[in-house]
This record gives sequence, C-alpha cells and structure tokens, in this order.
Amino acid sequence: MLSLCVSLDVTAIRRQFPALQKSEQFVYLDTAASAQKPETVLRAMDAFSRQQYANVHRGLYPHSDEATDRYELARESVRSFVNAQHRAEIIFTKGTTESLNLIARSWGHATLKKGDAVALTLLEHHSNIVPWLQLKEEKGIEVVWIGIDEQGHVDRKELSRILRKGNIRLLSMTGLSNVLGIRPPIADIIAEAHRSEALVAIDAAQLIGHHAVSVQELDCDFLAFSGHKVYGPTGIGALYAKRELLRSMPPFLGGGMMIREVRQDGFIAADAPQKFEAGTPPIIEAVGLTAALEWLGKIQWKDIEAHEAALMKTAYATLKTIPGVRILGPRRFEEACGCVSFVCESAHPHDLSELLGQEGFCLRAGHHCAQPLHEHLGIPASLRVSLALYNTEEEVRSLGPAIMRAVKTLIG
Amino acid sequence: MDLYAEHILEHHRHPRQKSPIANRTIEHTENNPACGDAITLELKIVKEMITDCGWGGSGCALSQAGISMLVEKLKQMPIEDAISLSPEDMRALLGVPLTTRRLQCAFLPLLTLRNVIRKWKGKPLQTWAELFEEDLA
Repeated sequence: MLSLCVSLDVTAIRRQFPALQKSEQFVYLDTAASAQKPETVLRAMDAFSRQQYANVHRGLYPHSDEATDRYELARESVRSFVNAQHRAEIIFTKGTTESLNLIARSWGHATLKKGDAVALTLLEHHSNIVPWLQLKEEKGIEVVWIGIDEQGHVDRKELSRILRKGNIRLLSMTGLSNVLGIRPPIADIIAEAHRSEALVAIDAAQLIGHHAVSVQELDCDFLAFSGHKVYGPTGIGALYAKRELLRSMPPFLGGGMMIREVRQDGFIAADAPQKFEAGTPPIIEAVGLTAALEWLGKIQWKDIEAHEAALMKTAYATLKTIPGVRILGPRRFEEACGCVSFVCESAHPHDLSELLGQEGFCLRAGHHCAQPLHEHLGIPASLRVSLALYNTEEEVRSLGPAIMRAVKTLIG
Repeated sequence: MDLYAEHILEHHRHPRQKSPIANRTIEHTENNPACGDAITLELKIVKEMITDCGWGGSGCALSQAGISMLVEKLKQMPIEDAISLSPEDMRALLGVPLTTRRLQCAFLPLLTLRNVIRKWKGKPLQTWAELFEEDLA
C-alpha cells in the first residue's frame, strides 16, 4: 500500500524557485515539458560563468583545468545519480532526444542489418520513434510495435510473443509515459528481453525526475535523460551505456575532442566518453546540472514520491468531478505518476489550455510528441496536467473550477 | 479584445455552412499537425466564380470559427479574389489579437482555401512556411 504520509516542506521548496515567486497567479503544471530551476542552479551557472569559465580539455592554464574539473565533476554527479558503475559510461548530450539518436546513429547503424528488428511500445515519445524509423528507411530494419491496454499497461503477452520471434535486437521503451503517467515494469521487462538476447534502451526523460533510477539494478543497456527535467538547465542531457557497448560503438559526430589522432588520410577515435562528445560541450550547463542533482539529492525519494502521489490523488479527484472530462490512462491514481492527461467532450484542448493560461494555469495541450499513442486512443489531442515536487494540492484543486469556467466560456 | 470574443464564440457555437454541398467542383483537406485540427473545404465553381461552398472538420474554437467566418464571404466571390485573400485579410476577418502560439489555428482556414483553389488550378500546394513568410512581410 502506497503511503500518502507527506513530510516534504513544499513551502520551503517553493521559496527556492525564483520563477514561482511571481505576484500574479502562476500555477505551473507543465513540468513534464520542462522543470523550473531552483536558485542554487541559477547561481552555480552564473558564478561559474563570471569567475571560472574557460573551455575544457584544452588549455594548459589553471582556468581551463578548473573548468575541466567542474565538467568531469558533472559526469561523476550523473554517474552517482543513476548509479552507473563507471564514469566513462556517461556521455553528455544535448538531452534525451540526442541521446536516443546517438544510440540509433552509432550502435544501430553499425550493428543492425536488414531483417533485424527494434521493438517499441505505443507509449513512446517521437524522440524514441523517429530515429528508429530513420534506420528503417536507411537499412531496412523492422520496427515492431508492442500494444497497450485501455489504461496504458504494456501488453506483456504481445511483448513475449514479439521477443520469441528472435530477431529483436533492441527494445527501446519509456520508463514513464509522458502522456498517460503510466510506469511500465521496466526491471522485469529488461530481464525478459535479455533472456531473448535483446538489448534494452530506456527513455528516462520523465522517470528521472520522479523516482530513483539505478542502471545497475535495472541492468538496462542504455538509458537516456535530460537535465531540464530534473530541475537543471536545458542544453544538457546524458546517455548511459554499458562500457562494453561503448567500446565497440563508432563515434557519433566527428570533430574536436572525440579523436586521439587525425592524419590526412584518417583518424583514430578517442575512448569513451570523449569519443561521443565532439565539439565544445555544454560546460556551463554541466555545472548547472551538477547543482540540480546535488539539490535533488538532498531530498529523499520516498518524500518526493509520497508528495507526488498525494498530488496525483488530488488531480484524479478534481478531474473526476468535472462533467464531460475523461481521464486517459490508468483508472486508479495509484498507478499514475508525473502526469495525467484528459479530454473534455465539450471543449478542444487548445481552447482550454488558452483560457486556463489566461488565469495563470500552465498546462500543455496537443499530442505531446506522442502521435501514435493519440492515434491509438482515437483522439487528435489531449490536455496534460504534470506534477512536480513544488506543486501543491491547493494548486491542483483550484484547477477544477478553472476548467469549469473555461468550458462555460466556450459553450456558453 | 480577447481571443474568445463574442463573435468568435458565436461562430464556434453555431458554425455556418458546415455541411457538404451538392455538385461540388473540388474539395481539399488541410490539418494542423501540431494539434490535429482539420478542415475540409468544398467549392462549387462556375465560370471562375464560387457559387456554393461548404465545409467539415474539427478543432479548436479559433480554427473552426475562422472557417465559418471565411465561408460566409466566399459565396459569389470570383476565384481570383478568393485566392488573393491574404494573411492580413484573415487577421482582419477574425478581428482578435493573435499570439504566436495560435497562428496556425488562425491561418488553417486560409491555407485550406488557398490550397483548394491551387488544387483546382493544378498548381503545387502552398506550405505553412510560405504562408507565415507572407504574414511577416
């Protein structure tokens, strides 16, 4: 039984977010798109930019050394945050999208042949669909879809049947749906995929900010996430990959930093992680990410989970009282995490989002970069409430009357 | 003035000519990939003149009110006048302030009109990018 005993001091947490101190109403329910940043992240980036900034791995002068240390400290922060065994298993990227593309462009391009298949679930975000469809076009690989039930649970029988076919080389799936808020049992699924000799990549863009992630416990082969979904800056994310995979993967982008040696007729790539980090990396953002992970690390996961479960309970209760509203995804709030999406029979999501926005409620409307899922659900768009540790039950509760006011404006 | 001004809501609640027409000459569907809004416009064209029009579709209040307001103007309009309706004309027709995030909703009716006529003329269809560039000019 999930405990809803909340010991998180939300008032104190909110005080640490400058964006939440506006004088006008600002109810931010769009953290699934991007999280607001605590003061400590903004300060760390500002102070580093003003006092210690230089390029990394380049100059033989103290400032450059210091910048390099800070950049590599960020790698250690991420390693520790996802509980990877080795620091060199952490590649910095622009974000989840680039991380997933790196898997497809490097590992996928070098390894997959015509007849091989990559399996995806219907829950996936476009960033975990399009790179594989590109490989399908280029190399003739198969992209196989695993269905979901009406609440968003992955169809395990179909998954087992697909894995038994024997040509699935990779299962690439989300750890937490950015639309339905459903959390597939990835540990169990990874073990099953490995028994069929398929590798597993986890899109942890949503999962990373809501639950502890341990790549060693999960035993996933790849895991991707973005800094801005864990209260850090945009422009930086990470890819975790097992060391033995990184050894055989070819470089992703070519350029500075990723080489050991360049001659007129060829080059020798550096070892991981540099092999995958061509060009000047997001140095200031790495400093911000370190600050974000340190900040988040001071809060117990069990407290975050309990607070967000209480918010979800309120969100379900609030939405269920509104006539014409249909919640997509799990029937029970206990099964949803991070976000809940819904449609309202009398109002288009865009109109609701616009009218709610005029009152200071920030909700995302659209297909949330998950068109195959929306097509499966038989709707063009939905409205999403996403929750974070700085949201309050009062904020979520106040959404109910606001939605009813918006609907009244639209239908008269 | 608010985006959800009374005239927009009135057209949204009571859309005009939202039905197929008899003996249509041409029809065309455009959608807004960002939100799934779709409009199908049907025209009956006699001697370079729009003699009848109707439409179908689903979407937000702005796109649906916009096409409802547009079709009211189209009947008995020469084709050349219809194809020269500009983004500026569409803004004037809607008569409400448009934010960047709603431009595609606002211009979906115009893009559908442009492309149903282009299709009839056998010309390549206009893209969103071209329409937005015209709006900025």
